[in-house]
This record gives sequence, C-alpha cells and structure tokens, in this order.
Amino acid sequence: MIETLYIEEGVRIFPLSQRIISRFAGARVVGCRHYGEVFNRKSQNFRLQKRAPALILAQKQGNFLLPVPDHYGIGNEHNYYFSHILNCIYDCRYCFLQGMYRSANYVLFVNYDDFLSAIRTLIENHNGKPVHFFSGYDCDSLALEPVTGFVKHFLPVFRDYADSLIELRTKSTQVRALLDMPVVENAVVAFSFTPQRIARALEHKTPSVDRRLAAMDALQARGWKVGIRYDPLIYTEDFGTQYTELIQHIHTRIDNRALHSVSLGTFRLPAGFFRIIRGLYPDEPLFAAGMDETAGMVGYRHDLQDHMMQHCKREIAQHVTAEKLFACHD
Amino acid sequence: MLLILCAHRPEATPIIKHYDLSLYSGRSTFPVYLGDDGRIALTISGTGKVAAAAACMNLAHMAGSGTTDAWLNAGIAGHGTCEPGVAMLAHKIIDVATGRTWFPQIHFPAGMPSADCYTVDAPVNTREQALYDMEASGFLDTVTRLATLEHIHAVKVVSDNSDRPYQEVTPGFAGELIEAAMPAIAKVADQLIESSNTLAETRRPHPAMNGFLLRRHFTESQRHQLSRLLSRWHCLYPDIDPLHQFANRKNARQVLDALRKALDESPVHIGVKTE
Repeated sequence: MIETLYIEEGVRIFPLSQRIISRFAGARVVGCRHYGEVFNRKSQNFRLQKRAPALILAQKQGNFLLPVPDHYGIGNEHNYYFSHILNCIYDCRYCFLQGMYRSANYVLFVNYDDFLSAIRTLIENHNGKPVHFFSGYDCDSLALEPVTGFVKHFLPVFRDYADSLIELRTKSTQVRALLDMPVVENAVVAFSFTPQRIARALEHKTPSVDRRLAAMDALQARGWKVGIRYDPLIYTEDFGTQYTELIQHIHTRIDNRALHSVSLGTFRLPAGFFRIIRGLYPDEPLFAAGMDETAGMVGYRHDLQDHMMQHCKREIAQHVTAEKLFACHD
Repeated sequence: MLLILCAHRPEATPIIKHYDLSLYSGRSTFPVYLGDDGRIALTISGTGKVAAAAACMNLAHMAGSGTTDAWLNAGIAGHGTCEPGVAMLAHKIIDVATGRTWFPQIHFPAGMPSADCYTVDAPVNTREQALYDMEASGFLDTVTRLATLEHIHAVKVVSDNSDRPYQEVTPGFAGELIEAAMPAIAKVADQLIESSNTLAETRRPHPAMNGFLLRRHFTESQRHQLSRLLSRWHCLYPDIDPLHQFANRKNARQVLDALRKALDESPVHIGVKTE
C-alpha cells in the first residue's frame, strides 16, 4: 500500500514512527529534515502522485487548531478543526485538497500529544463554553486508522470535557477501533454520502454506500453517536430521484432518533482551487460546464443551489427533526 | 517524450543501442541522439554537475521539450557496500557542496532498490550506504525547472565500492555494467515514457485548435484561453465540432466570448449517465 516512507529525522524515534516503519517493512525509507522538502514543493503533479502516494511522517509545529469558517458548524458558537493528516487515501474528484496541495502524498503528524495539549488549552481558555472540534477536513478521519491509531489516542481526552464535542468525518469503514473501545459520549462519527451512481463516477476508491451504512449501523448499535453529511450535493440530470432514493435508503435503515445531526451543502470550491483542479483534470465534465463565481467561491448557479438544498431538506425532514439539520454554505 | 542524460559515451552506448537512437547533432559540445519515433532523446554531458546542467538545457532546447516530458539520468556511481552491477534508483539527491536536496517522486513500480545519492565535485572512496556520483544534482537542479518531479529520475549502476576503488573502473567496465543493467534501466525508462504520454494526453490541444488559429488571429493570451475553452468543450460535447459553431465569428474575441457563453450556459453534469 505504501511504497515510500519519508521521515523527518526528528520523529524517527517516536514510537508511532517505529510502528509504522515496521508495518511497511517493504517500503523504501527516505530521511528528510522537514516535510516541506517533499510535500507541496514546486514541480510536483497531484494527479501523477495520486497513482502511488508516499507517506510522510512529520512533526507539526504550531497552528494545531484553526477556526472553522462561518456556516460550517453544527449549531455551536466556537468551532475549530485540526488535521493530524494532510491528504486522503480516497480520490474524490470534487475534493478541494486537489487544489490546495501540489502533492498527493500523505503527511501524518505523529506528535499527537502536542495536538492534545493544544486542545486542552483551548477548551480551558473558553471558560466552560462548549467547543466543537472537527477532524476530517484535510483528510478522512478514519481511513488510515489501522496505521495511525488516531482514535485510541485522541478520543479518550474528550471524556474530560463533557461540554465539548469532537466530530470525526469519514467515508471509511475503518470503525474497528471505535467498536473496541468504550463509547465517548461527546464524539460524533459523521459519514459523508452521495448517491451510489454518483459516488461510482466521482468518489474513486471509496467504500460503497451500503458498506458505509453497515459501518454506521454497527457504531449506532454499539452506542456511538453518528451523523450524516450530504456534502457536497452533486447535480445530475436526475438529481431529485438520486437523492430522494439515497435519503430514503439511509434514513429507513438507521435509528433517526439517535442520529446526532445531518448537514448538507452543495458542491463548491474556492475559485483558485477550482481553476487548479480544472487544469489537473481537463477531461472531467464536473468542471467543464458553467459555474457561478461569487465572493471567491465557485459553485452551481444560485437557483440550482437553492433547488438542490430545498429538495434535500424536504426529503430529510421526513425523517429527522429540524433542530438536527444544518446547512453548510459560504 | 523521455530525455536521457549520460555523463560518458560508454554509459550511453548500451542505451543508444537498446533504443536504436541515431546521432542528431554531433557538432555540439554535447552530442544529441534521437529515436525515429521521437519518444526518446539522449545527450552526453561529460563529467560533473555543471556539464550535466548545461547538457540538459542544450538537450531541452534541441529536442523542443515540454512540461509533460520525462527525464532520466543514467550512469554509474560508487556505493559504500553494494556489489558492482546493482542498479539503483536515487530517491534523494544531495549536493554535497551546497547541501541542497531533491526528492524525485517515485509513482511507478521501480523494480529495483533505491538509495540516497550524493553528488560530489571530485571522486571519493570513503562512503556511507549511499550512491556517489558527479552529475545528479546538476541534472535535478536544471530539469526541475522544466518538468515535474514524478518525471525526473536518476538510475545509477554501482561501479565501485569500499573494496573496489573508483580508480579501477575503466570505460569498458562502465559500459559492461550499463549493458547488463539495461533491462532494469529500460523498465524505468518505459514507465516514464508511458507516464509522460498520459500527462501529455490530458494537455493535448483540441483537434479544432488549428482550424481556429488558421481562420482568426489570436494573441498568445487568447490562444491559451481558446485552448482551455476547447478542452472544456471536448469534455461536454466530444461529438460536436466547435469549428462549425463558432469559427464564423468576426474576430478572436468574439469566438472566445461565444464559446465561453455556450459553455457557461451548458447544463452541469458529471459525465456519465446515472441511469
């Protein structure tokens, strides 16, 4: 799976680094001073690297937590995100990471304890006000779990902060670590969905809708809070039918009363990223037709966005109460 | 296209034979060889990183290389412990004099081990578990300005080690080593050609591009716009010739405006029938 491991010399002695080196015993191991020497340098091509991404083990220096943009939270005032990994094993054609980074290699920051210190400090600085943390913006939270051990290390800390919440966003079925540990009441595992036929066209290497549903089922049965993210909504000629069927399929299978939250948002990208991705994939129809650019964001025309959001909200409302439904937009 | 740099003729000869390359320009300081099908060009630089850098620029100019092309530095190198004849891919190149490093991105099954490669200004016999050569950093420093790091690689065949000093390496022996390693070198070379072709395919101009350029005068900037718009057109309407629709506009500006308007008004879709 991983054929090349780049390792910052400073993290080679970390126990996690040693475990990963052992796990990928056949991989070539290349030392570097700083991950920036390898990752996101000029003269790299995301599309080519995606054929065989390398794993870079690094140490994050500062900026562990970043504020979540407005309109991206799930009902809380203080929202932050963090990324223990940059980039994702999946290959979703609509993903902003393709435009944000020149490199498709994965960077894993192995200094987990520094992240946790930053999380503790930030919660304590909010003087009892609830803080929401989001993992899975710059990566899939769970997809590399067998390699990273992220869940086991990060989630227990949140037991000390009942007023706070951590969301793990994923398309993965790697839930074994969660099933093997006691439930963390203020953790939400949020699964992203698009209709299977759209997923087949655009979400390369991801588990099927039904496999994601099975993982979500298993977590719910074990008592974990789960969420659903219909984001991005992707338009097709038969958009209404596709999403009606998907929403029915999901919400007739899961326990909607126990569902933590549902959020939705239409396909959108920062304009700069959109242009980079269109250049990387000139053969991708998703980027070829007319899009609107407003305030630096590219997305569907506003009337189409409204139509898509209203349709899905109406369908979801048949299963989920309004206070659990959140619209994400820019 | 694959562009190959060798330091010396004995290193180049097996490659020239394998790919049946012909001398294109022998008068130049750096002789250039080309394949009949235009897939491969090779040059010989002489010793050292400065010569390597100059030869690469000369080759790029003579072969008319573009950003989708791939580059390979093939030759012999010393190593701390490896036996002569082992072919290795350089996964990190360090210029010993300056401390600068490069990390060629290996996105294909290399089929050979890989190692750090130290580029030195003079031959050395005291070595670590790494390759030692005299050209790779000059090669990388130059061609990273021309191509992408996934398409820039150095394959080195070990010629000397701690037990066998570099002074014992003769031109004939160097040639024999490259000849013996040719299957491994060719495996890397062929994958680079394939990858380069794939990337070039995504940037291939639309078949109607020339038709537009012949009919109307486009500035350089307008040519780029036209290329991008035609690429989008091909994505959405692969079976409709845009020349019929737009070539009759009065000037380049009107062609671009009409094409852009038609594309922007096209219904969005994801390229496959979902039903």
